[in-house]
Amino acid sequence: MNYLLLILGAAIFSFGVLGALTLRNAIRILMCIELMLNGANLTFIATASQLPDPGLAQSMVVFAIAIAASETIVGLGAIVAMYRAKGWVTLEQFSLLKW
Amino acid sequence: MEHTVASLAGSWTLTSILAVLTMAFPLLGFIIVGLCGKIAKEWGPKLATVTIFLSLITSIVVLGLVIANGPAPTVSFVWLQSGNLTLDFGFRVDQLCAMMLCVVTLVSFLVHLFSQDYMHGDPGIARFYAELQLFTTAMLGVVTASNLLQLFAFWELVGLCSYLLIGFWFHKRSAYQAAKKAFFVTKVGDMGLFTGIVMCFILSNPHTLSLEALPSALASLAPALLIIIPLLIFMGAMGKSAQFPLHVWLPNAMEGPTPVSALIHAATMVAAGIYLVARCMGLFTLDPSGTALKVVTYVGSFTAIFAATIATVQDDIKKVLAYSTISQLGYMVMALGFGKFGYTAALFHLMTHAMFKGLLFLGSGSVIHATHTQNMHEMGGLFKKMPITAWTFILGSLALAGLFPFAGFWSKDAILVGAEATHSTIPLILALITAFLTPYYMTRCVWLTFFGKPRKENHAHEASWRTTLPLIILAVLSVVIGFVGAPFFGELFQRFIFFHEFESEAVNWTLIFGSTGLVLAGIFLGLAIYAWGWFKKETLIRILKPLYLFFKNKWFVDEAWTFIAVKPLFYLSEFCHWFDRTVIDGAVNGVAWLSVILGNIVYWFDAGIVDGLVNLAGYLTVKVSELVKWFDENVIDGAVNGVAALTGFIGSKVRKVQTGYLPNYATIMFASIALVLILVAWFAVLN
Amino acid sequence: MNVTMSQALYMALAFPALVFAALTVTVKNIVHAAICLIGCLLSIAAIYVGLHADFIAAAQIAIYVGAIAILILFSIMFTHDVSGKQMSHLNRQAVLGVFVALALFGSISFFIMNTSESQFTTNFQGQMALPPKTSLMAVGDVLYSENASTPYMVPVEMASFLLLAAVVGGIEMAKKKEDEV
Repeated sequence: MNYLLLILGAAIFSFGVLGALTLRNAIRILMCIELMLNGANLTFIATASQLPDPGLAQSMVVFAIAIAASETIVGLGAIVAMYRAKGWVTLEQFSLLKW
Repeated sequence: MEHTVASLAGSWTLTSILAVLTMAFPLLGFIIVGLCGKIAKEWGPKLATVTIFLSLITSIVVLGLVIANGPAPTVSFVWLQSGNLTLDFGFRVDQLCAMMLCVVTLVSFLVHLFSQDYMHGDPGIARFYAELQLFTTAMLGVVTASNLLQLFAFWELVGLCSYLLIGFWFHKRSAYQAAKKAFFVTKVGDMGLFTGIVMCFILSNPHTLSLEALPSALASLAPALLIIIPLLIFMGAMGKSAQFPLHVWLPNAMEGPTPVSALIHAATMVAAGIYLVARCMGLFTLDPSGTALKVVTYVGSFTAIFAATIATVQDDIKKVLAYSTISQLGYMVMALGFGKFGYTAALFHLMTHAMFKGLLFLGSGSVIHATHTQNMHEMGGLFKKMPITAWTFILGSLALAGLFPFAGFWSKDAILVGAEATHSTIPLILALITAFLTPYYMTRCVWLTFFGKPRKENHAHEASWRTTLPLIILAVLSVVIGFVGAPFFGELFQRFIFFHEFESEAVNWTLIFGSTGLVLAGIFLGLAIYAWGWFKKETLIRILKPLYLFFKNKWFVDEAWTFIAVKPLFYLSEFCHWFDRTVIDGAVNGVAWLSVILGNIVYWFDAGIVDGLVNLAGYLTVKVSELVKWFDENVIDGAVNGVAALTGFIGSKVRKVQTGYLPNYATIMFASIALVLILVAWFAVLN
Repeated sequence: MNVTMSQALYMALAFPALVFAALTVTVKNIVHAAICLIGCLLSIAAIYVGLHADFIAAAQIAIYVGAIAILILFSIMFTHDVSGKQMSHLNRQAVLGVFVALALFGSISFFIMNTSESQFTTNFQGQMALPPKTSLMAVGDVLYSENASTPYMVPVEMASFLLLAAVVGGIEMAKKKEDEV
């Protein structure tokens, strides 16, 4: 029965992917990345609940949350810096990677 | 869980249900008006007034029921449970609570009505009413709370509403600074209160926070703890009820709209401290040596005289009333310190004070609304233009002054009797001096505002019935409410609210005549200086210059706070700044300086020796390369140019892949992942 | 397929999580999106509680909802586009994105459905009856135990260092430079 939750995790992850691919505001893309991380975390926990000792998987989630927090801080810092420099946060307008 | 539900259902009485309803109406109003925001500008104030009116009716019914049937049994249910910590959420409706319910809802209702005109046209009027509703809910929560933590939660909510309403005009610098000051200063007291609550819980046996069970649960503690715990609780009361030295926020709080000053900073919220001490009186009396109560008395009596002296020299009509409030609160606190001899008197004074101080603030609001100034020296001659306001204001002042037979007389007299009964000589003397100063500064205030020649052009006139009706109601109450506690009318109030047991007091004629004499003397002095001009004001100021400056500067309490608390912090940060600049930057600069020296040495070595060798090698290289150049230009370039042209051609096609368009990269990344997954699925799983 | 009690509970919790996730991605207004994100994170925390991972649930609420989501809301307010010009919240290749996301979801679900349920449970059937340790103890045992088989002490310290570095870096990036005051 646990695969219901696994499907849910996959769905949330895919919604995150959907948003990250289709939206233009950088903050919203960051939010979608949070969704993706949450989908993955949910899969971890759902699987762990089937194991006799869920500690290891849950510890991984602790790491994932810590890393998500760092990623958000840096990402938002970058977005705010971007806003200072350019006055907008629309990701697709950034074309510095272009040749 | 089952048994809590059962016990809850079993003990509900009509009284408790109505008390909860009294709280529910303004809460509902807060939710509706608060959520509707700007849409509610027109109907929000009316709705809020209606909800408060409903609460007023239910609270009067509650009072009637409690008078008829005695206190309702406390209803409570388990709020949260963790380990050996069980917290109840309950409603305790007894005489004290019923009285407070009526006072709060009555003043709140009249303020709601009054504000209809006063706040008319203000862009934030819906927010104003929503906050008033929340405040009323919270205040009713404080008075019905059955345990200390629940009381503390509502207590903080009351503080929050006070902060929001003082800073209602937050675009004014002075307003938001006053709001912050009020919040921080009361927080100092709240720290004490919270520590006291935690100590109560830890030390009580069995662990409890219930107001009813605490005194017996704490009774076996060491005497020192029995002094400390009440004093910590008293700290909270000192902050909320503006007792010296935590009174500094209340005068600044007058930056809020005047109806707010009337409701919160005169009639109800500041009385919450009195209510708290009264509720915890069982804890204060545990201490066999009576030290805690003595501290309470001395703080109160000092605050009373201290604030009264400051009130005599204020120019701002609201500041006079603010210091008078502090002084009257000091009176109540002093009375609480007399234990069972002053308990009833303090609450009696709380009730009468709520009436006449609410009246005075609303009256001053009416004056300010008409003249657009708060400085009394710019008013004058308003008696003809605003007769209703003037008459009600004068009645309120006489009640505050404590002239026979107005409300203030009876309650003040009760306090003085309490002081006499406990043989507290020094508080009694301070209280009598205050009883002389109060009529003096109120006479001054009334005369400067309403009589004499208009000192400034104004077109003051009486506002609509919504402004004057609350004034008239409160004026009538200020005159008659004292009779419920008058010894000649059966001491109804004393029979209703008492600590442990009711004791009839013998009428003390000496005190009655003495205090009446002092009141008359105070009024006489005020009239002599301001009305009849027997003494030149300037001459008096010159003669009493040191005293005048001392009072005018509010006993330098603000300066003392700056010196004790603010300055040291400031110096500490200055020192840290200096340390950073001098020591750390010095070290960094030293390292930089060393690097520069080292760099110079290396540079000399580089320029003198290494460069010589390099130049020699360079010369040789040039010669060789001249030979190579010929070969290169003629033979190799041909081949290279061909390859470059080819590469350039391919590159110009391939670089289109690098769009620099970020979503493209991401899409390709995820598409590749999906592709890999699909391939794995195809080859590894399906086959 | 019999719907058991706990399955019904999971569905009841999964539904808001799914709806909020969808709304986070689809609504136009960015503030609404942030609020939907908070709703989704809270629903997931509820699911964690249902899975006896109460420590993770608490961390989820404290860190994700309490810190990250609020940080996001602050950034939204800080970088709010005040020019007022209306433009689509979708980018130029939105349609392509929908297909990629669908393909990803389809392939992941394919693997999940093809992993037979028994593969999860049979291996540990005998041990499932063990009284579960509390989530906090389980995590603590793994992260801080002196047992050499789980050497996660150093990674924990590194995670904390990473957080510190991220905080310093975030401040450094976002703060006003002195020359552009």
